[in-house]
Amino acid sequence: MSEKVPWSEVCRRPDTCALTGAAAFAAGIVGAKILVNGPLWCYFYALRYLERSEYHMAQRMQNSQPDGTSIVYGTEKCLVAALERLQKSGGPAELLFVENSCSVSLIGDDTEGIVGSLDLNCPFVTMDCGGLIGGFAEGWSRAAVRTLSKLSSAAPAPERKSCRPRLNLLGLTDFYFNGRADREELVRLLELAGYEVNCICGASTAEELRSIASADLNVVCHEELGLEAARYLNKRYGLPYISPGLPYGCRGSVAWLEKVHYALPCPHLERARAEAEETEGRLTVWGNELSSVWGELWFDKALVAAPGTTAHCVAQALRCEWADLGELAVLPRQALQNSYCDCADKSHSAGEEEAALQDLCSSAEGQCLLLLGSSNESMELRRAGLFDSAVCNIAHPVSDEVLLIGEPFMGLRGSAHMQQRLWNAYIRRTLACGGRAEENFRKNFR
Amino acid sequence: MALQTKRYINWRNSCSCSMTGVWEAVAFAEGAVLIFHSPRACAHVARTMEIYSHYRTLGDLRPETLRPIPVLSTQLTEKHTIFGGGEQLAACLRYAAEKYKPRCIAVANSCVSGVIGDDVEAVGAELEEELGLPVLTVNCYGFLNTEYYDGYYAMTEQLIRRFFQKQPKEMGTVLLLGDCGGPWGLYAGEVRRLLQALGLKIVGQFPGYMAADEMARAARAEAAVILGGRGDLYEGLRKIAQQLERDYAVKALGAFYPVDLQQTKQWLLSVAGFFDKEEEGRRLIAAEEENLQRALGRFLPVTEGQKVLLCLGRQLDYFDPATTLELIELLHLDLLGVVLLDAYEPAERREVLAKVRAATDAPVHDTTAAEGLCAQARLVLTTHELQYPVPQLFLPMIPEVGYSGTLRLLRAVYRRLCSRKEGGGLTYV
Repeated sequence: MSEKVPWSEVCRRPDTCALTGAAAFAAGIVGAKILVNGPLWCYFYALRYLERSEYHMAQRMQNSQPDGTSIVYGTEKCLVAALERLQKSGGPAELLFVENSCSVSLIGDDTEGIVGSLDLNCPFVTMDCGGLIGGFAEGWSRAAVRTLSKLSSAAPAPERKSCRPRLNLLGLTDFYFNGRADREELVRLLELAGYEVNCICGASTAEELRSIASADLNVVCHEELGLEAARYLNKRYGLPYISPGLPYGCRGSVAWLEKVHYALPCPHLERARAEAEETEGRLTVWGNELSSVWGELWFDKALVAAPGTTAHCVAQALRCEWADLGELAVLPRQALQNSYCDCADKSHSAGEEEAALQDLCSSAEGQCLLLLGSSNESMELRRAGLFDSAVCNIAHPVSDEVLLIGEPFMGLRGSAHMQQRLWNAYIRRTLACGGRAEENFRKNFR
Repeated sequence: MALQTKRYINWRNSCSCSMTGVWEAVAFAEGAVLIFHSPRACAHVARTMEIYSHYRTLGDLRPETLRPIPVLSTQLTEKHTIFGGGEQLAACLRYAAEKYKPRCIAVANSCVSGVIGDDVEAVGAELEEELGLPVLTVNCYGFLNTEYYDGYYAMTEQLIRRFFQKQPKEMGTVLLLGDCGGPWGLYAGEVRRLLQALGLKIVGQFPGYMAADEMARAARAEAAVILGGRGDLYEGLRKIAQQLERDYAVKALGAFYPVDLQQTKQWLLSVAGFFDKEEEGRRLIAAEEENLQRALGRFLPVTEGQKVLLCLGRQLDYFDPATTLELIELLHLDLLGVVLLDAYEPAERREVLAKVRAATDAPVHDTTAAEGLCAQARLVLTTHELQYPVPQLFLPMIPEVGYSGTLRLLRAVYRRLCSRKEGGGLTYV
C-alpha cells in the first residue's frame, strides 16, 4: 500500500502513478509491448513520462481508450480492438503487458481471461495498477513481482558462461533520470571486479528474466523498486539478497562493491579499488585548481530530493566526498526500509515537499544554496525568488537541462561527472552574483 | 509503405479528464484551494502540466506573474472503493479550511470517485454549512462521459454564480474570458497588446486568474472578449459570455476570434466598433499589415517556390486547414499536396476532406503515397510527428493568434527553410 502523505503536500509531489511505474518496468524488457487499459489521459501522461528515456515508446505502448460506457458494460470490446492493433504494429511481442487503470480495475473485468482467450503467440502478464495502489515505485515493484511469478517458473538454468560469481541486479531502471548511463556504469564496475551480471531485473530480455534464479546473489539497487522482487525470489528459490544502496562517489563506490564482495566474494576487487584511487586523485587535483580561482566548493544549505534510494545515497556522497556543506537535508520520494545516509542534518519523510522547500528557502538571503533534485523543486525556488541557487538535476521531471551524452551519476565515472556538474553550477551561480555586484558597483560609483 | 505517425490516438472516445479542467478554472485564483477527490497520484498530471507551462513560458521570456493555489488530494485508496470516499473528502475539506483559511474550496472528482458512487455534491453542501465558506462541486467525474472542458465550464459557472456581483460600468474596460495558456500565454498576450493599442483597459482574465474579490468586481467590465478558437470546444465559453451579458450586462464580444489574418481583422473591427473606436481600429490594422508585409519582404526570398507538404490528422475542433493554407500562400510555397493521416474516423475524414477541397486545389493523398511526397519536400507542415527523416514543423494545438501569431508561424517556416542541416527533426512553434 502506498504511504500516506499529508494532504497539503500532494500538490508539490512529482511522483507519477503506479500505471506509469508498471509500464516502466515492462518497457525495460526488450521487445515487450504494453497496453494500457484505461483512459487516454492516464495513458498519455504515462507515455510522456516514458518518452523522456525512450523516445519511440509509443511504438510499443498503446491504449484501449475506453469511454464512460465501458465502465458500465466492460472494456472487453475496446481491449480486444486495441490488442489487435498492437499485434499488427511492429514485430511480435516478446512479452505483452496489459495494465488496468484504477477505474477499470474497479469494474471487475476478467482481463486475464480476455487476453488469454486471444491467439497472441506470446507470453502475457496482466495486472491492476492504477493510482489506487500508489505511485511509480509501487507500480514498478508490483509489476516486477507479477512478471517474475509468471516468467521465472520452471525454466532450466542456462549453462554458466564462466566460473565468475554470478549476480542479478534488481530494481534498476532506464526510466529514472540518467538511468541508462547509471546502469551501464554499475555493470562496468561489477565486471571490473570480476562478477558476471546474470540478469538486470528492469532492463533485460524476457529470456534473462526466465533464468533469473540461476544467479548466486541478488543485489537490490533502488530499494523502492527492487526489494519486493528480491524477497519474492528469496521465498520462491531461496536466492539470497543484499540491499547495499547505490554507488555514488569514489569511496562510496568502493564501499558498495565491498558490501557485495562480503556477500559474494569477487576475484578482482583490487582493480576497482585501483581505479577509484586514480579517479579520486585526479579529481582532488582538479578541485584544488578550481578552488584557487573560485574558492572552496561550499554551500550553506543543500537539499537532496529524489527517488528514495537515490536521495539517500547521493546525499551521502555529496557531504562525504563532493562538497562542503553547512546544512544538509534529504527528501526521499518514498519511505525506505533501510537508511543509506547517516550524515544528513535533517531527513524529511517521504512527501514532505512543502516543509523541505520551506526549510531550504527560509533565511536564504545571501546564502549559497544547493538543490540536487528535479525541475519540480527548482520551479519552487524560482517562485520563491531564489534565482541564485546552484541546481543539479538528479531526478525526473527535468525541463531545464538536457543530458545527451551517456555519462553516469553513479560509480567512478559518475563521481567525476557529478563533481563537474557541481563545480559548474557553483561557478555559474558565482558569476551571476558577481555580475550583479559589478552592476551595483558601477551604479554607485558612476 | 504507409507513413507512420509517432502516436496513434483515437479521438472518438473520451480523450481527456475533467479534473484538470476544474483545476485550470481555479489554478491561479488567489484565495481558493482545490481538492482532487482522487487517488494521490492523479495530482501529478496537474503538477506535470504546471511544470511544463512554467518552463514553456520562461522559454518565451514571459514569466508567470501569479502564484498557483494549493492543490490537495483526498488520496483515495483501495479501502475507499469498498466503504466510500465521502468521509475522506469531508476530512480533507476540514483540513483545507483549517490550514489555508481559504475564500472557497473547489472539488474536482476523479473517475474512481464516480465509479464508487460518492455523493460529492451532498458532502460539499454539508461541509459548506459546517465550515461557513463556499464549497464548489461539479457533476463531472474524471473521464466518465466528461472531458477536460466539461470540468472547466462547470467550475466556471459555479464561480460566476458564487462570486460575480452587479457593478457600475467602467468605460473602455474588457474582461478576458477563457484560458489558452493563461495571462502570460501568447494568445492573451497578443489580445492584450491589440486591445491596449486601441486604448482599452483589461480588468482581468477569468476564470483561473482572478481572486475571489476580483471576481466580485469583474462585472464592471463593459465587454467580455472570448479567447476562443476552432470548433465546438468554445461553445461553452460562448454560453458563459451570454450568461455574463444576460445577468451582469457585460457585452459578449465573441462573433469572431483572432485566429487567422482575415478573422483578426474582423475581430479588431468588431471590438473597435463596440467601443466607438473604428478609426483607431483601422489605423491599427493598417500598421499591423504594414509590419506583416515588411516581414514577408524578408522571408519571401527564402521561401518562394519551396516545396512543402501538409499532413493532417487533427480533428477540426482543434484545427482549421485553411489557416495553414493561407500561410502557405503568403510565403509563396509550392504545396506538393495534402496528406490525410490515419487518425480520422470515416465521417471525420470526409469533413476534413471537404474543408481541404474548399480551400485548395492541391492533390489530397492518404498515407500510402506520403513517403514519396515527403522525399520531395523541403519541409512538412504537420499536425503529428512523422516517423520519416524529413524536416517537420509541428502545427500548434492552441491557435496562433493575431498578427503576432501569424508572424511567429511565418518566421518558423522561414527559419526552417533557412536551415541547411540534413535529415529530419521537428520544430515546435
